[in-house]
Amino acid sequence: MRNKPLQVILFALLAIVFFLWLFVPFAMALLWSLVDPDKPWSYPDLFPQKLSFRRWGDMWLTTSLPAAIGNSYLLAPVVAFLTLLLAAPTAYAFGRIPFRGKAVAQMLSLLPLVLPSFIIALFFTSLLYKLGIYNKFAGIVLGHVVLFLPYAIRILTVSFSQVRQDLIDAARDLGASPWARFSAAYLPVLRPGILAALIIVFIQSIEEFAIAFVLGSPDFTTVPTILYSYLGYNFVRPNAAVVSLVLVVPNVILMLVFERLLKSEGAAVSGGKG
Amino acid sequence: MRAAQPARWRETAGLLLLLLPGLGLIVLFIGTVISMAVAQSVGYFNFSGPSGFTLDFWHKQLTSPILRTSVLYSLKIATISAILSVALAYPLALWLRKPFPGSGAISALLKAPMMVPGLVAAFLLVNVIAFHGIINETLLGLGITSKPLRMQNDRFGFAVIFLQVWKQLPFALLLLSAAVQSIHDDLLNAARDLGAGALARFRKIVLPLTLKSMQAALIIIFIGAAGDYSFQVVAGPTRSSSLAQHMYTVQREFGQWNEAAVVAIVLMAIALTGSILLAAASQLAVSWGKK
Amino acid sequence: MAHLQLDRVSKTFANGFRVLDDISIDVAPGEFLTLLGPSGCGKTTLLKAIAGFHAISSGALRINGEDVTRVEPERRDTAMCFQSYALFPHMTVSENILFGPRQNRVSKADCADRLATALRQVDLGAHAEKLPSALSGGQQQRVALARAMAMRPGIILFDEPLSNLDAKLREQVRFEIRALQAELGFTAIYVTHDQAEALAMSDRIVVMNKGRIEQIGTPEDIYDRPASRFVADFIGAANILKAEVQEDLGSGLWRMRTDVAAFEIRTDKKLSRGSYYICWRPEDAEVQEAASANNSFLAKVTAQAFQGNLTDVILTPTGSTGTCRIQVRRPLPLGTQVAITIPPERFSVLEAVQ
Repeated sequence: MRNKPLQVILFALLAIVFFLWLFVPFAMALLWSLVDPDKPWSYPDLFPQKLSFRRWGDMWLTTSLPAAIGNSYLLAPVVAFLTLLLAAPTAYAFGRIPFRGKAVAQMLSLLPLVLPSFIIALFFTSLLYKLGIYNKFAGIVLGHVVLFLPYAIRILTVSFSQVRQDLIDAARDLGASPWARFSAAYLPVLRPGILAALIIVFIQSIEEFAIAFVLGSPDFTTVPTILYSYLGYNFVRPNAAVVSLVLVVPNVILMLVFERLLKSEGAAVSGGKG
Repeated sequence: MRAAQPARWRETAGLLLLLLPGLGLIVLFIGTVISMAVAQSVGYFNFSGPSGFTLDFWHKQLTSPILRTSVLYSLKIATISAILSVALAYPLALWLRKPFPGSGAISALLKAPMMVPGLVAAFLLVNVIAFHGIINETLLGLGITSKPLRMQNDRFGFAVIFLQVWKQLPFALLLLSAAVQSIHDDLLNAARDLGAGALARFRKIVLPLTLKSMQAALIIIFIGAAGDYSFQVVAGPTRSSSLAQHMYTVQREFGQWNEAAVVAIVLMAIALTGSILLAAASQLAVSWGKK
Repeated sequence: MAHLQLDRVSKTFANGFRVLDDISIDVAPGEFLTLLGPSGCGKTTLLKAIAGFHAISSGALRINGEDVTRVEPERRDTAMCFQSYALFPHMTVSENILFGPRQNRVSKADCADRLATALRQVDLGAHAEKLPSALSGGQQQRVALARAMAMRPGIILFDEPLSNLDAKLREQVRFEIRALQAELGFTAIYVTHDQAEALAMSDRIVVMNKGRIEQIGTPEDIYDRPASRFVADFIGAANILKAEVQEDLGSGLWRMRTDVAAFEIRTDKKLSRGSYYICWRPEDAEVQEAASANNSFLAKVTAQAFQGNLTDVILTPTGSTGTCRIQVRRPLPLGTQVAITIPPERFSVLEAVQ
């Protein structure tokens, strides 16, 4: 009760931070994406002269944005599922089997995170050229899978380590088949981890720039590479605004779903513990 | 005992089989990519002309002034970004250690940039600081300045550092929050009871107990910023280039795979030694502060 | 050695819950005072208020006559032994012990002296350069004690310091703490929920319940002359009865009626007409074959538990539905009828029946 003035100051601070940190930049992006192609927004206008959705329509019809969206949203689920499948056995070993050198193995599994991604992109591309592999989709899938395996392994390791041995033993003791054992002891604990890994890898794959850019250019575009093309040498701000929103909005929605999921599932799992 | 031997062998084989698709793939892939870079840097796997061992490419790049400025520039950006992110994250982590009304919203806001892809972040910043960005519009509109200020592509790289901090602060905050929250209240109370003021508690209790997390944050931010390409291209100085940018230019514009490989190895070495030095320096600073 | 005064200390949480309600205690220099009560009674909150970690809503705290109500914990002449020990995990035993003196800019020579003394006092000289994680629970507890003592504070505050030790060790450390206190002469405020610990260690005990003081007194006072049903029940075992005042027999002797029997009861209290709660301790019962004239009743043995040094017996008094509890040396045959006599001076008169 005594802290009332402090609370007011804090909330004012919160509002200002929110305003400067997120609202202003995103509002600018939204405004720019709505600038009418015929009435450019230039100095000294404080606001665009005319707002319309024409830019969005034009981009959809005349640029490779639809193809890029198609590529990105085909890549991401494929990468997510492959990464999950490949990460699971290693995560099981990390989470449930004690062995010598585990700490080193776990450090090694973080390698893709500490190596600058542009180096990976460039020399992975060079390797593929040398091997004579020119399928860009497959190449990017492989690159993304390796790049994001560390996240999936990490998340699933935690999940596997939370599976309770006494539940597994109880299921065996009660004569459960391997599948019944899995669904009784493992699945409830693993489910949030699996979902988390899928969503995280999906988001990362949508956002990934280095490999998609180096390996994909010039003909294979994804949403980030098309955004880059409007940011780089020929800077077209309204187009960049449209692509930015196309890139960020679905990710934010996914991230919110992810947090919600994690919260409810987490509660269900911990509630089940005696 | 005799029966246990084959079982032990089968266990090891099973373990390796489990590690193969995940860890195996990572090690194989990264190993091959690094080997590729090393091999190309000394003249193997050429795309045109004969392959064979040569140190020419190393010589060319190591004597190139562009490489030197790129190294210094990337070192500068990475060091400042890492230290600044951690320095800002500490007070925030301590402030948010105990939940209070609105603390959840604040930490969610601070972590929001994690969800924003790097290129989008760069674009958003450009909108704010460009010639025609909101800051210049406001300054001009209020009559504080008579012509727009140059903030995008500034010579020092402030804009890139700002972007790095904007994007990496949440990550540092995440690591440090977890570390700070795991310090038991009693420990801080005990220090207080024994006469330690706020600064002494931070230096002697909080810093040493969160050193590992701080080092992790420093290393990851340093490596990320040292290898940055997109922030540099969009918002960085036009005169200097980052190492990744230099590497890509050498390869793309001059078709020089071999020299790009030299830059790649230099970049890896910088990232490795720089982050280790940073971690060691932070350790020294903390143990000195403990006194 | 410091003189601590709590003057009408109260603390109310933001939600209106009154965790400390009008607490006044005067702790003499060098006294060993125990705050005893069930969990949630406010004893730890009170201790932390004395240390300065909790601000109080009203009232005053004085140390050696000086008002410290608004003084920060780091400036108070108190040192605390935490229940969790709160040893700094990244510092050796020596560094932990020297933390306070260094923080207070004690000279190097004095620091060395204090360290040596503290290590000797708690007998940890061999472990000075170890990290806390390398020590046993009992050793960690002693480091916490040494760290507090190295501050040379006027008052040491103990927050259930023995609750994480096993029973044998607990008894040993009790004696050690008392011996150190006698040697160094600090004033000790000791929080516990263990009544045996409180009885064994304290000069005086403050029994707390729901944020209020139920009774302050020496261990003998508290045990022999409990002031309320809560105290009688919380400390030791007690047979509590409702009794109606029948007659003032003079010189502190009263005749009172219960549904078991009529008793003559000796008390210092001035009783008025009406009913009071009274109690007697199981070990105060005298067992006979047949009822004698005064202060006795017949009862049947319904259950018993042999404890080795004595036997707990549950009885059902004749003509009553309730039970009572006594302690005897050897088990009695189940179902037998015995006569129980309680001398007048063994009764305690508690609060009036509302």
